[in-house]
Amino acid sequence: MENQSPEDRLLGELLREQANPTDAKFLRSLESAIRASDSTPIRERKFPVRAAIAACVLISGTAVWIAFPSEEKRQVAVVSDSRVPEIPGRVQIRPAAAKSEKATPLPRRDIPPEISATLGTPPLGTPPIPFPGDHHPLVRLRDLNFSKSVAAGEIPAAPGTHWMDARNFTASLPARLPVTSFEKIWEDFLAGRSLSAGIRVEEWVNAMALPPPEDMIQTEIHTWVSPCPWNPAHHLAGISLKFPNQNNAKIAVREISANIEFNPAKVEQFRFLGTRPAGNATGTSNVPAGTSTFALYELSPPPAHAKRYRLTAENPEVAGEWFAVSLNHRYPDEAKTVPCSTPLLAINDCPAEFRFATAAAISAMKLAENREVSALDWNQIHGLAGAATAHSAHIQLIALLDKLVGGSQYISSQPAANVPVIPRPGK
Amino acid sequence: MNPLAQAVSHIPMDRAAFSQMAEDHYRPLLAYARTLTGNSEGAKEIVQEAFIAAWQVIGRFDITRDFGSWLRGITRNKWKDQCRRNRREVPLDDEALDRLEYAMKSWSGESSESEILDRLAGCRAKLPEPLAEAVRVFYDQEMDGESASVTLGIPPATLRKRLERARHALRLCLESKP
Repeated sequence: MENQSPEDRLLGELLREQANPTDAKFLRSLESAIRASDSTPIRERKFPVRAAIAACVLISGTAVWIAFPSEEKRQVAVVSDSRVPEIPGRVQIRPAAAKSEKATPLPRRDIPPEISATLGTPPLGTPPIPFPGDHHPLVRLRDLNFSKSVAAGEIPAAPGTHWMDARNFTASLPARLPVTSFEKIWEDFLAGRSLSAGIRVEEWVNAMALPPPEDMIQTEIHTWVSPCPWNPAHHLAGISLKFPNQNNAKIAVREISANIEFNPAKVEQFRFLGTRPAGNATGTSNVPAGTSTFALYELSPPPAHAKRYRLTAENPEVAGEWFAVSLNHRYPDEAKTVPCSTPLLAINDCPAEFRFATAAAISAMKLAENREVSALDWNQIHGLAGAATAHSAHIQLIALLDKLVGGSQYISSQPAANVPVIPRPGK
Repeated sequence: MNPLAQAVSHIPMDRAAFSQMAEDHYRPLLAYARTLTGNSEGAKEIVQEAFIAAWQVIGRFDITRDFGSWLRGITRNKWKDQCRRNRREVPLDDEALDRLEYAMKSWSGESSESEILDRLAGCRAKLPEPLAEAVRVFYDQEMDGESASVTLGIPPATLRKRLERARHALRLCLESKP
């Protein structure tokens, strides 16, 4: 009787609960715990007086020690850093490298100039980001083997270390990702705790997905490509899947698997920003109605000399495409493949969903102390995100960034232009 | 007031309403949590944490949405965090969690999820006696399979079959419209 399905286990527990109700004592202890969490706002916790006195004594003592050094200490200090010119009678202390001046908050829609310079502008005459609602046939590039899929566990835990060869692999797009670590960080923020533990980049990105419009009737795929803010030679590909909420259906799509094929003429290697959740790497899953998911990939281009000849050998019709996303599912029965031939767009020309996903990815990587994004400061990330929409996760991210920038106290309650205001579905 | 406090200060549900919601939902939620954790004490712990977290961020709850589903989401996250903290592998994958969520929603039908236990009681009452007896001994009296089959005087295989049929009948009953 051990090998029961999850539903049977749940039914068993409901039967036990129904027959032997948990006593009211638990409810009372629950009430007490909620009341206790009400009456001790952690944000306003004050240092005990004794600790403050001890800190003052310690700081004063250290100051005296530095201001009146012994000759021995002075010599050691000078020898330790001969590049710093000596001032007689004082110990030479190297200025703290990481100490930065107070950041000035940026207007929400502005991109810092140093980032704008690397992003470039979209080519003239290119159409706006399309979502081809029609059914597109699967496009496969000739002479390339796409049959091998990324297997579970091949992408290591640390984002930013592992690249896959676009010639040999297609990527399985996770149909659904949890938002655990973003919610966790939000709770830590509310409680005034450290924001550094348990960051998962892909969950932060996915938390920024806007919910599907109420009137959407079929699954939609949206794609964008923009220069990568932390590496001007690379690009970021954003892929958003939205699942309709129609006819009171609980499940929008059954047994879905999503795959991405990259065009090797444009992409030599790619990496999923974040880690793949265990158990959902290559399998299929059901997707609840009214949900959406967002994934970011970083793309590295092939060398210029290789690109010239590769392009001539390929089907010219697909040469402009970056990648194609294909969805296969049991219900509804129509499979879908959407080629992405989107021109490069500067990030401030991309819609809020992409901008916030990018800002969330950089924020998560930065909090996880990923060196690749160390050149970007919080102010710049704030600028990348732009104005918050009415989406709660966007407001949360802006509030976090406000805190990290240490500047503005402003949260826009207005949606950005061209972003629909859609109530967030329950999780 | 910092921006975050401003963002959460608009609380659509007052304390009394939240208490009422907690009273309505804690039992199905405990059953759900026991399914995740496999033990009663661990389930109580994460359910308590989930309610506290829910109350602290109640301003973000969209009152037009399903409260039970929201609470289960928080409970699930608490449980996953607990597994990670204890360096244990998460024993149920996303597929299984999706199935649990789907089951909770479909079993509650059109009525509120807080009424799922009442619906279950109604469905139990419709079971034929041999199946009802198997459920009573195995689930209500929390006997293991061997002891239950001895108590009922039937072979373990028969008990297993009766329990399977009982669960199947109960699921069909719960999934039908009330």
